[in-house]
Amino acid sequence: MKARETILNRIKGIGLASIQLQELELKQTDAGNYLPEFIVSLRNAGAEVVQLAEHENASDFVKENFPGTISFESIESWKKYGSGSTLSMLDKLESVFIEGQIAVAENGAIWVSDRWFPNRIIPFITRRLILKISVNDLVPTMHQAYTRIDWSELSYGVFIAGPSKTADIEQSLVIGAHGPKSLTVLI
Amino acid sequence: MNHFKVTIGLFIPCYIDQFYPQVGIATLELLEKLGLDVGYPLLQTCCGQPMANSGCEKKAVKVYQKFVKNFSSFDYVVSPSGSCVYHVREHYNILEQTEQVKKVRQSTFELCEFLLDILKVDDLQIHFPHKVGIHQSCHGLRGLKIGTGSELVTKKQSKIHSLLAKAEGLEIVELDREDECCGFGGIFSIFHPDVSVKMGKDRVADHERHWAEYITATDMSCLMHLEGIIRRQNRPVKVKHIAEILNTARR
Amino acid sequence: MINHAKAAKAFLRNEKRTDWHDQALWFVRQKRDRAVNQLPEWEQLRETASQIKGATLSKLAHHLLEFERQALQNGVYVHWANDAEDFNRCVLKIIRKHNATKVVKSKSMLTEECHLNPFLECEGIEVVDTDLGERIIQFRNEPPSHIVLPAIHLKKEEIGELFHVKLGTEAGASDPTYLTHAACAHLREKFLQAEVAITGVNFAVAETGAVVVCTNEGNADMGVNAAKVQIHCMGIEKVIPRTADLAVFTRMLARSATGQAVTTYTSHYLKPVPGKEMHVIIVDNGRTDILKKPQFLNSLKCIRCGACMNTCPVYRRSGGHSYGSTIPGPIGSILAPGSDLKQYRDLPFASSLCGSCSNVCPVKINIHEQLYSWRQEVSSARLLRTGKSITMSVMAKILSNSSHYQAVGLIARRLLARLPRKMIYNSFNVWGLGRELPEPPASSFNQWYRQNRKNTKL
Ligand code: SF4
Repeated sequence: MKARETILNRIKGIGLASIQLQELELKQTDAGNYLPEFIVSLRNAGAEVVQLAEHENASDFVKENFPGTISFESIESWKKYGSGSTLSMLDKLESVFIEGQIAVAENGAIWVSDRWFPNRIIPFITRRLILKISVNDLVPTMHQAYTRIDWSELSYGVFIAGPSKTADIEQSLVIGAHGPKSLTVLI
Repeated sequence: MNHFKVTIGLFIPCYIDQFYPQVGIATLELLEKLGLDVGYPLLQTCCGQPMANSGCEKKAVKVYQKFVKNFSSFDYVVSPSGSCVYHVREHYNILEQTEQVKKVRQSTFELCEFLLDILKVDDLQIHFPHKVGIHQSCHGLRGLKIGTGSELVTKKQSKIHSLLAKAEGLEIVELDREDECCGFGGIFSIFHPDVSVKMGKDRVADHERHWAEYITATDMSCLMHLEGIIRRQNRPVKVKHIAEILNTARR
Repeated sequence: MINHAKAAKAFLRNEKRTDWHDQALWFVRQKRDRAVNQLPEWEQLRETASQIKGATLSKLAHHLLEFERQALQNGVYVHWANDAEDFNRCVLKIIRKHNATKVVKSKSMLTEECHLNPFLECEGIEVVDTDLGERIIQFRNEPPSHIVLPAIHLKKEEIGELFHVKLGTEAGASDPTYLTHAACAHLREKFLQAEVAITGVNFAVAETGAVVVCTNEGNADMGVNAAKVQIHCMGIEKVIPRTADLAVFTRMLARSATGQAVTTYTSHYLKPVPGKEMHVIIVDNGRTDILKKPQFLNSLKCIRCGACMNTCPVYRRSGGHSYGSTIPGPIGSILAPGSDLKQYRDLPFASSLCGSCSNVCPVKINIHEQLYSWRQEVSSARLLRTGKSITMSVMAKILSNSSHYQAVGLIARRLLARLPRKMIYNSFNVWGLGRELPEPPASSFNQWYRQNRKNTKL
């Protein structure tokens, strides 16, 4: 506790003139069509994009095209990979399907929180991640995205933009670092 | 503006005075061609920047005061050196801000700035049939905002480009790095000679890659440094201060 | 005492390699340019970001307390640390409480600054840096040379050799994809075994108690979500007031840092998983000293994007290690003197004052002006190198007297014209090491003017 008081007192002792925090001007954005921009952003971030037609069901699509994928729309998966699961079990996850909540057109980021999958490590430990996002949840920039998050309930959430990557060796981009090696987004 | 009523004080920085008199002459002649009443205070020395940039701002105060004394009677002070002008405007803040000091700080202009912003010249009828690379001297560019730094996301402008746009026969070459520093940096060139020279070499190489015959700039100090490297390495490209090119003006 | 010029000279000895280093970083600067030009409102964003940081700093205690309150409510342990030693002990205490010996760590400049790794290692704890670049330099036992690209000074062949020794990759292999995947396989095991995960903090939101960490590799989340205990280390300046502010910063950070629109992962940790523990350590370590100095406090706005390094023509040609400080480059050169003026007296001079850093900085820190101000501080503290201070005193004398100035100028020009070359270009003539001196003209402008213009105004 001592350090706490020392630091706070030191700050207060300086007595800086207070500067008013300005209100952020949020440009009013109307319901434009952000889909093309979103798709470009996703591709730039290294994600694969699949646009589903209105009548197509995402789960069926995943079952057909990515057999063996664990979908967290199903209760069984929740049970299996819930609190009882071990890391070595989770480490065997090859492909995972999760529902995204908000998507950002300017950068391809998709918001997921741990209310939509049973263990926080799942979207990272899996080799392939498949995210579903509805066009209705598409916003132009991070400004709108942050206003849509319900913070009262949240304990952990992450924006994901593309598969994990690194360019730490001579600036050459390598897709697939500690997180998934591929990200597929179903719109 | 009635050119004949205002008086211009010509400020020729110390190293131009001693080593590049032709730049001072070109500046003077150009201003005279434009019909201006130009005075040159004989007792002037320097703006004080060398000391200040070395951390010895306090030692420079006497030099600052001398500058103010020499130039406070003019309506405008004009100089062919963006760096020195920037120093007067920006760093004379440590002087007591008397009316004289304030006036001098506000009325000191770099040549290109003065031509465009105050005189609002349009076509000087410049004749310089060569390929020219423009080296944007940093203090002019980012300090005086003679141009838009490449880092910024604002409308691009460059006073040197505007002044040379209508010049006869002159071709401006595009560079790979439009506004990379040349590495002079005043005392930096002395106390960090290796990095300084390397930066200069790279700057010269960029101009040569684009077949520039001349490198021009608003600051002779950058050009002095680049010329030193060019001559040491026997490179073909030459340097010419912007005032010398502008002084090919017919009017 | 750091001698930047000397270190830079050593770096420059291999010119080809310097060119490579320069171009690699310039490439990042160009990517940054493309990314920021996609946002026409970029300059307005910079202004806003700077305003938010400025306002926050002006009421720092208030925002820190608010953050603490929210975090406590979220079930997070909040600790405070005065200095590096305090901080290291605090981390150790948490680790000891859980009888842990295996720790993974994602990127945190604060832990570098406090030398946490060697401290923990002395206590018998294994700390593994999980960011690929950090792991590389940890293997090499050297500090990062860049805050975002820690191993930017290394060639892939060198990393190949290193991995061959440390990880048993094929001899001679240097393909970045191959090497990256080998390192990731090695690190995955470390993740699965780790008991404690440490991360840095990009932003701490007072309004919600959220700790925000940005990575591309996913290493922060792999670590934190695998381990039983998560520890987030933040400097006091990392707090921001509102969630809405996050939007401003997350839009700018990656664009400035690597030219990406956003980092792959922007993770928000609020509450620990039931049965696990989440700790936040708030560290001062000299920051309040900077806060005290009005002309330097803006440096605390820094969001550690590294853009000022990528754009710095001196950094690109002297390498991060030449600065000898935890944070190199322009921002390092204004932070380090605040911690130890004598040790780092050289750094404010390791710049041509071109100002590109200030233009590129997303939070509009007036870096080059602070470099100038630090030079004055160095001189006031009588810490200037002797050569500099004597030269400047002499120059000031000469330049404040017109006739002395003209006389000295005349002598210099005459000498230059008449002395044999060998006497001019000797080792004392630093200018002349790589450059010719100007050719001395017959007369100065002043002399010319006296001869050619009659109605001289004095
Ligand atoms: S000083 Fe500015 S540009 Fe440099 S790292 Fe910090 S935020 Fe980025």
